[in-house]
Amino acid sequence: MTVRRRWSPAGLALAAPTAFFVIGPLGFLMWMGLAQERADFLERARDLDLLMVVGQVALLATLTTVWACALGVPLAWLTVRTDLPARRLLHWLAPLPLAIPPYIGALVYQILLAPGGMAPRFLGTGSLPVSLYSVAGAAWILGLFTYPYPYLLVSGALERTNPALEEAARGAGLSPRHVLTRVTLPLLRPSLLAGALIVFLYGWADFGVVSLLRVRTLTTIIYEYVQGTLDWALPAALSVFLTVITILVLLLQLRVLGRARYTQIVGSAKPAPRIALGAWRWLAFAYAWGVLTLTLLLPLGVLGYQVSRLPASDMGAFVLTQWPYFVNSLWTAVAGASLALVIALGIGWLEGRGLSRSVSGLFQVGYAIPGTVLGLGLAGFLHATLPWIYATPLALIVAYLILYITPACQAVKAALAQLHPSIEEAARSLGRGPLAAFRAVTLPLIKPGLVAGWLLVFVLSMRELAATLIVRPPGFDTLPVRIWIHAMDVGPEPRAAALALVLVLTIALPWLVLLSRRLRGISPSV
Amino acid sequence: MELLTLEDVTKRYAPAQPPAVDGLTLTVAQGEILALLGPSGCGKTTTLRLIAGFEAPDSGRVVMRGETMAGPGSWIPPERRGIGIVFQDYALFPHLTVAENVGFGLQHLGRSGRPPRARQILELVGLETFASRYPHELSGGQQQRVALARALAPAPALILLDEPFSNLDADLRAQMREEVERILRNTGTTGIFVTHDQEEAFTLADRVGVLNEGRLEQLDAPETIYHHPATLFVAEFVGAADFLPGLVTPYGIVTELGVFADTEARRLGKKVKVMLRPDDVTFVPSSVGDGTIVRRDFRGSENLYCIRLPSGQRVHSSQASATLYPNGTRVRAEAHVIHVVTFPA
Repeated sequence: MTVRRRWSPAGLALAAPTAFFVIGPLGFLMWMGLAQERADFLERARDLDLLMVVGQVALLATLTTVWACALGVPLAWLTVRTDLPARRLLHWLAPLPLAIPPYIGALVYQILLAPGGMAPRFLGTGSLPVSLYSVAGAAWILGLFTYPYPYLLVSGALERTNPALEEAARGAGLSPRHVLTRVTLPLLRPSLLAGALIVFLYGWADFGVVSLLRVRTLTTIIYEYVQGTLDWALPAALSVFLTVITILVLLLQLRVLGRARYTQIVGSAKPAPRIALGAWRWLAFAYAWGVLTLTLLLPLGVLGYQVSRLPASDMGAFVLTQWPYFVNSLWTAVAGASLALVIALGIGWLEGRGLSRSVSGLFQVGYAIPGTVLGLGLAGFLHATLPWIYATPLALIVAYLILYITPACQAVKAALAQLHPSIEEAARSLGRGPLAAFRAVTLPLIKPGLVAGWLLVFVLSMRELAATLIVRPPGFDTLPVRIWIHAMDVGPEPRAAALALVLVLTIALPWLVLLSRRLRGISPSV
Repeated sequence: MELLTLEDVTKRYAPAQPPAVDGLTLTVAQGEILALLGPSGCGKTTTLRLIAGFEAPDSGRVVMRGETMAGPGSWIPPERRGIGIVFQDYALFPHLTVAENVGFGLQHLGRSGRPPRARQILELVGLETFASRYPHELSGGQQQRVALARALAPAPALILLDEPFSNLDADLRAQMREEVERILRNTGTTGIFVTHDQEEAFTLADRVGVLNEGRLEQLDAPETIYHHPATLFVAEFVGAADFLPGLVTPYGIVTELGVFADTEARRLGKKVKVMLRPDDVTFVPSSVGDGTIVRRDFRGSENLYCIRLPSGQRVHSSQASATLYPNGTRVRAEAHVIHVVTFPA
């Protein structure tokens, strides 16, 4: 097909609403943020001790990154390149903690470690010497439940590294230890950096964990303002700052990932030989299971134990009262995922037919907006322009679309990329028009990729908290919102645990399907 | 009767680059098999895509049976051109069985009409027992045959083959070449195929078009292409050739290897290059010969000797493989040229 990049009517029909919904909220925030008096802003910034807060968020993001990499990177090396016992099982289990949203992780560790929690009571003390309600505590939680990002990227890179490179180093006279430090690890640098940046952004833009642990960050300040006053100026300015930093980090990540391709060879003939750990293997074994205990087994165990503490009839009655919220979550996530997929499919189809790349570039912007910021911008923007969408569940679906259209597009694009154009041309030459050829040949062949994309957006929407809290219509709570409100207002107790368990189990099944497809490059959702 | 005509067709992918196809004009007769031959990047695949309708020409016209397929103000999409295509990678539909692949272009026959026609075509290519297999369960040669059967099934007037044998092993290639020719001839289908392999073009095609940088250098029967190349490019690209400097005199063209008849009536005193094929050159070992063997390449059925002449000019000579002469042997080289072809020096 003639590929001439242009703005076709179909492209414009896609681009116009996209620009409206993606650029609109950000533009709204910028306008609101810049509209205020400078002196006025500086005074309030001093009142809020904003510089300290920014420093605190940066510290939180950095600590989270270091902690997540310390958990994920050695584990990746151990499961892929050594003779660690039960490495296959570990390799399969290691990404699973991503099914536990970090705010549920925070809830679990509150139940465990908060004053009067399970651990202090077990130890017979009132509280622990180190408080969970601190920057370090938040970093501890965030690192535990985001370590699968560096794990997946680094283990993927390790699997794809050409073993001939290491053999060449051995041939050049390097000892195994030197091969590791001078060849293997330098080759991992791009994937390590990419994984670290995802985690950094997670810490930078998190709302769920820090709000539960009462750590003041930019997102919690924005949320307080939105709840407390009708003043938009300050939260808007903070939102713009948050987003600008996020976009800068994402651009850095794009550069790193772009370079990473040159250093790896996909589909090497044979896997690299495994390194014998010798006496160290049991220490490594303990380390690996330690990571999984903290991030998967303990959280699930704690949630299960809490649920079992209430009489079954009470618990059943409670869950039934929460049923409508579960339904709210379910149908908005299903609608969001389905719409995202349809739009992504449209973009993929049009892009193969000369749609300007700037259209799909537009969608990427949504991916860079932290949930809290998007919630604020979208709420304000819809209120001003489309009041009939504002304060309806439609607003939530629009939020999920903006946040997660990018992973959907990536899934569609990856599926389409595996098809050689000649296969659709063959259908054309056999008498099918463009749409008929797409339906008869392309669609059936990319179906698995589409299913994966749908599941991914579904999972991400299902667990979304920060944007939902702000955008949702009054009374229209989702499961994450109920869990958060319960944990904030009532505290970390069995009923919150029961809701959390329902959410985790709902996410876990599609997540398992996705992981079994070894989907890489999961988006940093907040 | 002519089936397809390209009239001054030009296609440019980017404004800054030279055109991929540049003012191409050619005519294909009904029932003919035409090969488009040329190095990679010469525009032969683009030509095929222009005929198929996967590319639109920037100028010029593509006409089939008197009807304009593409040209100023008219465009017929690929699905309505009735042209069958065999792709280089076969492009079989992996989610459909062999029979479903072959029946894909037979929608007009309806649900009941498709299977008999598919079976008939599969018999033609000798794959009737593989009807319910999937493409990935077949060997390369079988996939090739399915691709051909699928393209032939709607009984197209014209079939295009893009490097059809390049993915096959050498021994299978010769066999498939014969088979494809048999099928095309038996069904009376006109075929255009693209290749960079001159042997393939020569054995299969009635006429060969040699393309270079988007232009048609020569369109002729294979024998004419080989013995009377129209341009230096064709002479060099098709078969091995040496070019011996010569001078046009009243007695003929005088060269280091003797005098050749000036069949082309060149201007006197003009310096020319005489094309020598390795089978034009013979030699006898001789202690007083002024040529020296500098290299021998064993080619199985023949030996290809490289002989250095006193001027330093090298010529090649192919000889039966039985007799061997070591490097350094002094020889007297002779050229017996039946078709004298010269180019301006």
